[in-house]
Amino acid sequence: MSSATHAHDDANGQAHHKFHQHHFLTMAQQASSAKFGMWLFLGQEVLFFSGLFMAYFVFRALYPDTWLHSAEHLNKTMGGINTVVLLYSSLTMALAVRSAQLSDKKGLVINLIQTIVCAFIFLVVKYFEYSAKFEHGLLPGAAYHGHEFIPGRPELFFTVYFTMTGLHGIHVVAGIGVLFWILKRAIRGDFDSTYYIPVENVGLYWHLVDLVWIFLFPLLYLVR
Amino acid sequence: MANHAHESHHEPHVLPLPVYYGVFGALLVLTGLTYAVSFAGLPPSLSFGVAMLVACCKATLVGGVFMHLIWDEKLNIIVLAVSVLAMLLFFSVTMMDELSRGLILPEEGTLYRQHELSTLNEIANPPAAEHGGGHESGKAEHKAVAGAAEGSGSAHAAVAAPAAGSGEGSAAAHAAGSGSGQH
Repeated sequence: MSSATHAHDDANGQAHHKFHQHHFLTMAQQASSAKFGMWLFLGQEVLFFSGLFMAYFVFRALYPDTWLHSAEHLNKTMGGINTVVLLYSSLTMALAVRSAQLSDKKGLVINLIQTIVCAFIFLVVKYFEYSAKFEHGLLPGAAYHGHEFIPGRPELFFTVYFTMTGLHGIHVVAGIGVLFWILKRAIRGDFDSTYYIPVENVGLYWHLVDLVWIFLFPLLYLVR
Repeated sequence: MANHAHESHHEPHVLPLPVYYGVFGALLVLTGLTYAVSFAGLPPSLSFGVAMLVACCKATLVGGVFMHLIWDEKLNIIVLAVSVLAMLLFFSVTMMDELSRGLILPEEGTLYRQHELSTLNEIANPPAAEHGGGHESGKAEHKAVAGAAEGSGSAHAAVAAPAAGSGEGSAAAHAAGSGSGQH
């Protein structure tokens, strides 16, 4: 894409790229720095979620029976559908990055739109799941007023359930936001094989959201 | 020119399409596997092990191929590995403590666990009706634990009073029994 590359050369004799920030030596250095920063953020995300997983494991060790019975009140099929939706969105996200690598603008836009649609489907399924829990009084902490008997402390299970899936859902919403930003820039024609690091970094974030769900799904829905 | 060699070295690393579709297919198969295993009626601990093993395989596929870690700079893998190791350390040390409490000094362990569970009950059900028991607590460590568990100072003397007598206390003891029984 010639519009991204100006004709004049900079002091190092390199063609100056439109998105080349002056404090980086080369586009490659700029990209690898940005990616390293993204990975530091993802490492932080892993640690952030590990606190919630720890709470899950401690309460599960304390109330194994509660966990066995409470998980039966979650809809395995809806959870399974959401898993497939997120896995497919991860595929389209990876393909979006590939399209950007090949300077294929049309493929990039189509794959980004598919990813965004999947994110919305995920949230819609989650909405139906949440409303079913609200209806049956399966709520966190003091708000819990389930009618069916669950041994032990079901309110703790549902506290963990709503906190973990809720924070994961917030990550999905944030993902939709950054995906729209990338989509706008892709339509504008910002990305090609010489510059696609924003697509790649948003992709890394989106895959992490998928990774968290890969562990949440069996832990919350498939206890038995 | 040196720059030329440098630039050509950083051509995007493009994977062939079948790799992506293959990984997606494998992820679907593994998802189907955990879903099926959850209906197989395995004992919970075995079922849990299978589910975690499959989840780890799926995470490796997503991280390695979709996140491109296999072909990425090693520095990025190190960042991820360090945070995963920190997480495992966090899990293992906490669970060692959690699971061994009833094993050391069984009597005190039982008492401790009863107290701990009643504290958790207090968190789950804020004391609305009953504030059973007086301020009998000669055991300083119980108070300290109650303070640490809930973060604030007062009102926990009542919590710290061993709940053994009340019905709640015996329920807690039962839960503790089943808890240690699984492990």
